[in-house]
Amino acid sequence: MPGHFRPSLLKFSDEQTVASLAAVLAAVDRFGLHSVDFTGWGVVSAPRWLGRPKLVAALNKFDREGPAVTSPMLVPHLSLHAVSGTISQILRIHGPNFGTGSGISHLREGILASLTLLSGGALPGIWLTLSQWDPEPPPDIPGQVPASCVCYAVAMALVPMTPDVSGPRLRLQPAATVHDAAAHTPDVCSLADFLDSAFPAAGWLCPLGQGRCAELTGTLAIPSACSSKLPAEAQR
Amino acid sequence: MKPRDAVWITGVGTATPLGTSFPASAEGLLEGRSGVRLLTRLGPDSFPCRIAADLKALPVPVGCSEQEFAALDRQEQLVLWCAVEALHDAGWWERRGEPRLGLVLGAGAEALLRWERDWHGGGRIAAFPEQERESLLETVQRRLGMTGPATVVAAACASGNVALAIARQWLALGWVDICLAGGCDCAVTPMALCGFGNLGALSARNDDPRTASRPFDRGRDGLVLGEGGALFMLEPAPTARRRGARAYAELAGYGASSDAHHMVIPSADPGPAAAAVRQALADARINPDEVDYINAHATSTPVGDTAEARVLWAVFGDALARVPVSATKSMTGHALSGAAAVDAVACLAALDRQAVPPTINLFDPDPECDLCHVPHQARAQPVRVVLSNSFGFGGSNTCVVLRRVA
Repeated sequence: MPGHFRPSLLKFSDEQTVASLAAVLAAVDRFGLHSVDFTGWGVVSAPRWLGRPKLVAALNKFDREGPAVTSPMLVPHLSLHAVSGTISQILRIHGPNFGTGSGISHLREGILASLTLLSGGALPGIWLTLSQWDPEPPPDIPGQVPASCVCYAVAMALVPMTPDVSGPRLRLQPAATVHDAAAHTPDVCSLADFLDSAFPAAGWLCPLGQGRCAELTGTLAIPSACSSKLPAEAQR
Repeated sequence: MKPRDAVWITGVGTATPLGTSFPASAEGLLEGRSGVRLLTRLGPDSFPCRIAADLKALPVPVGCSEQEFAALDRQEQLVLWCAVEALHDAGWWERRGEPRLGLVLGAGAEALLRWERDWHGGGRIAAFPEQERESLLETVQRRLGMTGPATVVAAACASGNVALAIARQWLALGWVDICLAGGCDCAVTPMALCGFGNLGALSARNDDPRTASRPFDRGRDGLVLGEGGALFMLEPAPTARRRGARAYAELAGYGASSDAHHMVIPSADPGPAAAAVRQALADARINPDEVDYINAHATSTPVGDTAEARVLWAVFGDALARVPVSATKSMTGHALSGAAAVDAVACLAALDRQAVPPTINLFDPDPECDLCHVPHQARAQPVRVVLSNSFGFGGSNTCVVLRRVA
């Protein structure tokens, strides 16, 4: 786990990339995962509408000043792969990395994709990051967002479930067995609130369609000595 | 489906600069035709790069009126065309509501492209989020009446391969009965031309579009942007066998890794990408010497092509001297997140026609890319197993193995 990285690596990044990376690093700190070898892990990132503020600024600049001023870093850092690629680079993760979602269904798609990848059995674990602005910002011409808009990100370190571990569990369930599944419209903020609450009354639900639902249960009991056995950790 | 059942490709829907069907694209690839041309529709006189292998107008798919189709965004048109064609080709169109039909779409910059096209057309969705309408995925699902799981995945130029892998796993997990998977991109836009151009990644051969994309050639000076993509119908072999479906190929193996090196520049260390290729071979349970053809990622950039040659040597060793390698982006250009799927179309063409598509414009092979090239003209030969590399920004390395179904 690299302790330091050059801030210039994030110079062209979208705010959701920075927030997602910060969430991963905070989770590593909070749960003492510095000794875990993430080299073979995967990274799945599901931002919502990545790149809006910077693209608005770039389009305005293009209109005013022409093609020569367009940043060569727009495509690499605002496309959907950018969050997972950046995390992979900074954490030196050599397993697969990809982005998913992009729009309003980013939570559902991120959870589906990460569970799919983990179910393959080839990876020791996956970092799943979910991010969004709340509310979605209307950027001004230089690409600035109103102060009332907050960028949220949650990072979860997912490992295959084993019977001997405690802590939160993320599972696919038939929606019929989980009350009110259809009534929930989950977002990153509700997920962060759930993970921050010491004694949640019920699990956090994310309808996946086709009668399925992802259910996150349990509390973030911080282990005295964290290890790679911890099934899921998260940090806003 | 049982987890170890083979997965077959039983339908193809595609649009490439060489044609809007599998037969037309296969024909163009094996004829060694270039799809690159001078751009006129964007008025790009002031752009550093003024050539691309862009898509011409797409035919209106069955079940869609001309007016409805014209109202769609270019990317929506492309995905809808590929999806409808793949369903027809696989023989599922009439019964598409019966199975649990999934969709895994490789699309690397759906929102950015939509916002940009809207902006240049006078709209301001990017600046006013309350104007957001349904996503590309939702549009396709609604129009086709699909109710199965669907997702967009993005690993830049490797997106299509990631989509194939996710879809195969959904089938293995029993989450879907059949699944459309692939990648599509229509990224020949002013911002992409300028962004890639200012990155120094594009060819400057504006005066000779057809010879501009020169993978593995000593004189290569950058990639040529392309458009296009493909969706493939993936189906468990037992289901396909029962209904007597045509099998283009078995999706036999997949591997993926990350360089963790740089967002744009490939790693000088061939290790991570070689690991992805080795995983794919192991997943397909074959040895390197059983590969009959390699479709290289090779985009015609000075750094990337050399790096890929090193990767292939690391994996194949001396056996590489006997395995034909070609770079079909010399004809199709680089369709970004549609590229892996377009390359897979070339692989299926090789399996179907028993011939290796060529690398055109390979006038002076770079000694740093010392491979068993197939220059200028297709080579007729037995093709049973093909391997397709796709590497992308963000350090993504992917590889798929496709096997002929006996």
